[in-house]
Amino acid sequence: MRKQKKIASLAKIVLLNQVLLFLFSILGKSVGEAKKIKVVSPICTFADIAKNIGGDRVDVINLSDGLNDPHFVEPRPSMIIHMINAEVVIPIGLRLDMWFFSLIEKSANPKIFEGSSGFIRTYEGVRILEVPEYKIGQPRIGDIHPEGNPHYWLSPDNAKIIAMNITKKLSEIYPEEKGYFMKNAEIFIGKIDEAEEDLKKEFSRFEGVKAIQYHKTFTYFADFFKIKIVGELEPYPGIPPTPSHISQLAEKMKKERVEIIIYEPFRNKKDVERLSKITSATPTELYADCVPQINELKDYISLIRYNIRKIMMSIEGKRK
Amino acid sequence: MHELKDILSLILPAFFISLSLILIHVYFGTKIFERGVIFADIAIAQSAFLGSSIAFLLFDNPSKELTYLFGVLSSVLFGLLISSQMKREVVFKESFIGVIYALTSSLSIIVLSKLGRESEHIRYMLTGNILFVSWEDVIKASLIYLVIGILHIIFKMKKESFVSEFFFFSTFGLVVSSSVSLAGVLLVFSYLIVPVLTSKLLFSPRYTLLSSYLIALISTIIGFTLSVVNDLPTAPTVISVCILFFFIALFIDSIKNLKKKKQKLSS
Repeated sequence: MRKQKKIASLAKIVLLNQVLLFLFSILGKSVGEAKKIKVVSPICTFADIAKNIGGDRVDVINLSDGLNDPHFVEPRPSMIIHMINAEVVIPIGLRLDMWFFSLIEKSANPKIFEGSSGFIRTYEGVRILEVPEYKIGQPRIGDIHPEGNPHYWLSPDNAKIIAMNITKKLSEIYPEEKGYFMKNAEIFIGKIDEAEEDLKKEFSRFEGVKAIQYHKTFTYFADFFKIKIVGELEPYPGIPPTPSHISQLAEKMKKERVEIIIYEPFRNKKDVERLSKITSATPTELYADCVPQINELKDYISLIRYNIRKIMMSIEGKRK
Repeated sequence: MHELKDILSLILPAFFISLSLILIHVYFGTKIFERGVIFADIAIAQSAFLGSSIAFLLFDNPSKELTYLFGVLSSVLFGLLISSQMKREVVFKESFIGVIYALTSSLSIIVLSKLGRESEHIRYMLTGNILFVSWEDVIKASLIYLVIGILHIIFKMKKESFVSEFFFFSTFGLVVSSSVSLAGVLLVFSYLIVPVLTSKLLFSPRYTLLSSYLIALISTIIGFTLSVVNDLPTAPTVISVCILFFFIALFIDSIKNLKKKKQKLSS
């Protein structure tokens, strides 16, 4: 009997313990979550940078990754819900992620409207390439993009600027965490510096290599690593390659001894292969954004490392 | 409960615009079916797209209204061209519409390439997504559809003539250029054709319009629910449900045909 009683009271204590633990876990969770800053990002790269800066003070939601074209993301109901609850957004801008801006508008969340405190102008201070010189009265034909090339995040130097912009804005909204964000930014920028130095050293013997890109995606990346972009498969951004354009391009490539054709996984591979057959330049698939579920591409630094190594492999294979 | 309110506030305008779209497009769908020119809508939608992109060529930053006006003008023009050929046999009509589609598509690519900007941006501005529809859009579009619906009731022309065909295709152009800019080509095309096709398989011609409305309505309700519950892109979900119903109807129809054959054989 006594033994039974003992067991029963022990069971009670265990049960009570369990209930208390459960309650604490809910309580702790809700307290912890309430404190976290909700950030919504259109691409994996910006989400990665924001996570590095915000650490455990932020809850970052990422809406697309390197497997998809960031120009076209099919909106889903949950994306609008994320926007409604967002406190900070980090758009690409320069008219690349129009869908992200439509989500912001649809959310009717004044905290994240352009010009509000929760809207980060990510490219503030970045030297935008290919801004057309627009003269009044001149026809617009030949302009590339009214505000310049929007793929600025693929230069590690620009990633540092983006990181600082996010740090500055987060510290403005949450001044009590300023020290924490600044420290994280320093660590993150240090990591980029380190990777930058390593990769530049590794790549130095390939500097000046000539490449063709499918879309004007890798212009900043090429600029940073001294890869010479000779042309694009698209005659104009977003316009599919035409036969005459491909044959002109092929001639130019042979003359200039172009060694690689770089493109993202969602581009038309047939176009790339055709051009590669005529010119013997090596098709080299690169990513424009990180992909969390692929280990080699899990964050921004991995992405840059992956791209550079992929190019080196292509050229080495060719030069052998 | 905060979430439910959020979901409703974003899904209700999309749902109401769908109802509006169904009312006018299913009606036009039955008429298009009668004429045997199924792809007329895509040709007209493409010509509207061409017109709107020309607005971008002529003006620096055209307003929504201006691009719509250009879209309407262009679709009316091509509607005129199509209606001039409606007296010919069906094969010629369909091929002619195919030719118009190829022409307007290639012309739009040329115009976009001459714009020299990122064409993704222009394409994005010219084709809508149903999730982003606002109440203002719902009211504006419904008014346009209402006026056109009333016009069609008043001028119910029995005899097929050039005037009646021109009236049909120009009002059709007006509707399609507005609806594509709100909901995208795919959903508009599906609402036009799929419910009518399904109903033709299942019901007698007398009930085509009514049953098509019902099929469109039910697929929309199911599609919206699935989209919200499983977080799927809304318009593609609605379209898939709509087409699923079509395949079910096709299945039922084939069984019916088999039975008929068996009966014939046994008798």
